[in-house]
Amino acid sequence: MRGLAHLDDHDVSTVTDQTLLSHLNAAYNLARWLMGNPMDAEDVVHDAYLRALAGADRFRGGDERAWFLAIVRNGCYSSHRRQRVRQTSDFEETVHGEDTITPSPERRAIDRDTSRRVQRAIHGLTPEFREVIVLREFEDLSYKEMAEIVGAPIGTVMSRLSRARAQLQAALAEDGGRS
Amino acid sequence: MTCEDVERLVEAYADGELSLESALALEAHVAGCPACTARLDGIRAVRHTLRTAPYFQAPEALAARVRTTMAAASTSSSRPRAPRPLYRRWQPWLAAAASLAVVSLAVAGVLRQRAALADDATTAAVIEGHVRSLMADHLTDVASTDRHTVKPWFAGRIDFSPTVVDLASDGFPLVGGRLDYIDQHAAAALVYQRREHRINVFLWPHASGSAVHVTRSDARGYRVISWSRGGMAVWMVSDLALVELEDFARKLDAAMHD
Repeated sequence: MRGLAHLDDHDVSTVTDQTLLSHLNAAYNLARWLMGNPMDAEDVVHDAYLRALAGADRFRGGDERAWFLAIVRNGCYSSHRRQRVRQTSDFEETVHGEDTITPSPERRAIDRDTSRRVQRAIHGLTPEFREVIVLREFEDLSYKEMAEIVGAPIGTVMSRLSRARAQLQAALAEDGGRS
Repeated sequence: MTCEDVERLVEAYADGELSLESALALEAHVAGCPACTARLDGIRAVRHTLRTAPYFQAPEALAARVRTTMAAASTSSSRPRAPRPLYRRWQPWLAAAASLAVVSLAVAGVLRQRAALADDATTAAVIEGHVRSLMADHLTDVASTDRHTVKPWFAGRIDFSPTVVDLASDGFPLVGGRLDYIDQHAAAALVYQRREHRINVFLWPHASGSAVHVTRSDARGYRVISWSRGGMAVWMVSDLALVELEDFARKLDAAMHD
């Protein structure tokens, strides 16, 4: 509880809380893709906010979004480790609860079928590959930011991204050929 | 550059991660090489298809839950002295979560210690303005993609006439405008969109005449680019990747001074 000692010395700037809050969608989208269902994703994200507050002294400046998404990401992995005890299959997509999905021009233009196939293909990736795809393609993060979040060197991030894309390309080609 | 070099670098190129020099060298090779063109097209096609996958938005219930938690932390931390009566204050509404809340309370103090922004106050104010517009759900006072609607809206509300340009054809559609107040300036805020990302462009008169002074900074996941030209200060902020925001900045500047 050493944080208590600092209570008197500084003022909370609201923008700090607000910037943290403004990463909510990014945090949820990442957790939703990694956890596979809305309920677990919500719990992981809420927990990440508590951890962020509790671990704020470990933030050393720099990119707050990357710092926070790393907390979310690690929360997803811990949650899965705990769940393994309950014998749920790892990182499998389960469908319960409601999702709010942002429509974008690109997304609207495409039929639901394609979107469904892409979603299935992304879920077919291992978590290490899936997270770099989500961070890059949905959040437009740089390699450097992704490296910070997944805790791996940039070279590793690049190679995971490359292999993930190759796997997706293959999966989509196969899936498309079948249906 | 050889085909092997391109094979190694092409994804970084497609992701906007190559230096300008390498990017130009790669483009020069690709222009004359059908095999490498196909390779690049393949990567772009996959990326395009991937963007059809859903972006999951945080449910409102989660947003409310998180806000409550954070409000509890920051309200209590503005208290002058640390806190025996804390538990009692929280009891009525957070009893079950009290122990957890005390932890987050205690550390909220530490949160403030984070070096806010090393950059100057305007950068902080611009980011704050951006975040405020997103959080308060008050992105625009006048929601229109038509610059001929947005520009006149400012007349009489602000004592200068902002140049409003539409960059929809460049992939940055105008969303609308609003009045804002940034670092003691009444500012015209123009809002543009790039995929899921919002860009706030703040404009206010600036004495430095025609000087173009570009600054960039990157804080807390937000990028800020600013310059002034033609007596107007331009500050733009977004969580968009820096390369894309720079691209937008160039296009905006060119269109404004067309």
